[in-house]
Amino acid sequence: MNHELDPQNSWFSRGERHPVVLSTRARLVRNVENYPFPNRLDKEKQDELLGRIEQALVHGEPENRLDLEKTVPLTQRLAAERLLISAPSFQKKKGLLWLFEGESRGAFWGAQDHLSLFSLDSGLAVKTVADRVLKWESFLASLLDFAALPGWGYLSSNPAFTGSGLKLSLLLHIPALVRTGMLEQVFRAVEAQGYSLSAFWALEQGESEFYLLSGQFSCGLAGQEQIEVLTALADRLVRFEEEARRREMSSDRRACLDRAGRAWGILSQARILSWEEALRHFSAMRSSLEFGIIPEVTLSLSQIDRLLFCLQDAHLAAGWSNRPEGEDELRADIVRHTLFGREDPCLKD
Amino acid sequence: MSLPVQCRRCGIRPAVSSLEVQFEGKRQEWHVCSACLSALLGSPGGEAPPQAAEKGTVCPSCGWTEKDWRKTATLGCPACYAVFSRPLTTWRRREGYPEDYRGPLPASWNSVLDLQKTVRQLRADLQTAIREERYEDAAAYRDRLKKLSFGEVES
Repeated sequence: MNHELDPQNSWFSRGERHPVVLSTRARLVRNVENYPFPNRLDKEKQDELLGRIEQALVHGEPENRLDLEKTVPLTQRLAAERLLISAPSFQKKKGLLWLFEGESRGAFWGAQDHLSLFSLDSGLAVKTVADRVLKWESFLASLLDFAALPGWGYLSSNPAFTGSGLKLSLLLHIPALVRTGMLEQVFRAVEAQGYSLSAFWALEQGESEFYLLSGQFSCGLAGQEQIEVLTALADRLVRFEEEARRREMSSDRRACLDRAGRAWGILSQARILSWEEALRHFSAMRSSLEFGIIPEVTLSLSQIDRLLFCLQDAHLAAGWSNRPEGEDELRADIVRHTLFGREDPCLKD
Repeated sequence: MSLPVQCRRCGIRPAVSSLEVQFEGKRQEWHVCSACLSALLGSPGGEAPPQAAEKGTVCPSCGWTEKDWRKTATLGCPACYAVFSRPLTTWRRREGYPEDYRGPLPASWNSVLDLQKTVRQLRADLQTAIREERYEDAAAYRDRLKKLSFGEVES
């Protein structure tokens, strides 16, 4: 079992890609009967419960086990950048993380509930990730007695996350909806379905074209129902974004060509490239890819999506630690090499 | 590691909390599971001694209070759901969440759910029998309910 993360290979290195949805995540919280929730758990009970949980998890043969308190800060940042731990867990720097199947499945101990199981995939894969985590939970339920109550469902320390205990989220790339001012409408549409939309990767001026769509509660909801609601919601959002992209292209083709051409120009020539600048231009390149308007661009959606994760600060620092350049210089070199199809560790399969 | 104590009332689930009950004319301390605790404290379908519900503002299992919940938006242990059943139900309604979870529960829960269904049916039958003045039937329903409520499993 490893105790560090591979800087270039994770769930984002493989899987089906989607023009609007970068990734799908399912998280399932469970608590074990007969033990107080983590906020009331004393040391003795905590050790006993952790032992039981660990015994149940080892059956799945975890590839990694990270103790966030003991691991180096770079590994903590890597885990946060690739969505393996939440922002609050990253800030607290406490908890245990077990990873399985190339980081497409994981378990976390140290949040508000005894156990958080999660599953991640590239692209739009709501049913796949939800089914994966639910099947895993069924197996663990044969070893751990999960707390539940008729009428409430599975119990959580936070009553809003009772019911199925499932939280589904999508990482969306919606630049056309942002540019055409339709975001307000989207916010209202997702709120009506119990979801929230928050900026994920911020661009230079603090705006974003990448948004995280997350379920806000699971109280009273059955997992199957949540999968159906999010699938329908994602279909609508994808259709809105794709229509907005096509409308932009037909109403102002020159502006679209200009944006994509500038993106190609800067990314292919820059010698110093900040994360925010790279993000802005990759966003322009990614959304214009399907129209094929810049013939020089030979990158696939899969390569762009991998780069978006690999070009983040911690991934650069971990993956190219032997290089003397600063992060922005290194980022520019990797992007140039990748765009011109040269051999680069980031593109190794 | 100590083995979990079985629920004194249903005899199926592990006990999570203890409660004082009046049984056969004596006050006794019973170790009960969260479902039976809920029933004893008066959640829907259960028999409700009002004095127990009033004491239920502090969770006997973990010491969490309703005030703690309101302050932190979190509960202290699974038994808190039974102890704070009424305010939690009101909160759920106010927040607009669906009022009854209809998704799957752990497989081991099926027997508890069957028991709840039987108890609800018997209570309804008892009321009907009293209304229709079928007192012999009513006495039989009452006896079955009494047995079930003290953890006896019907064959």
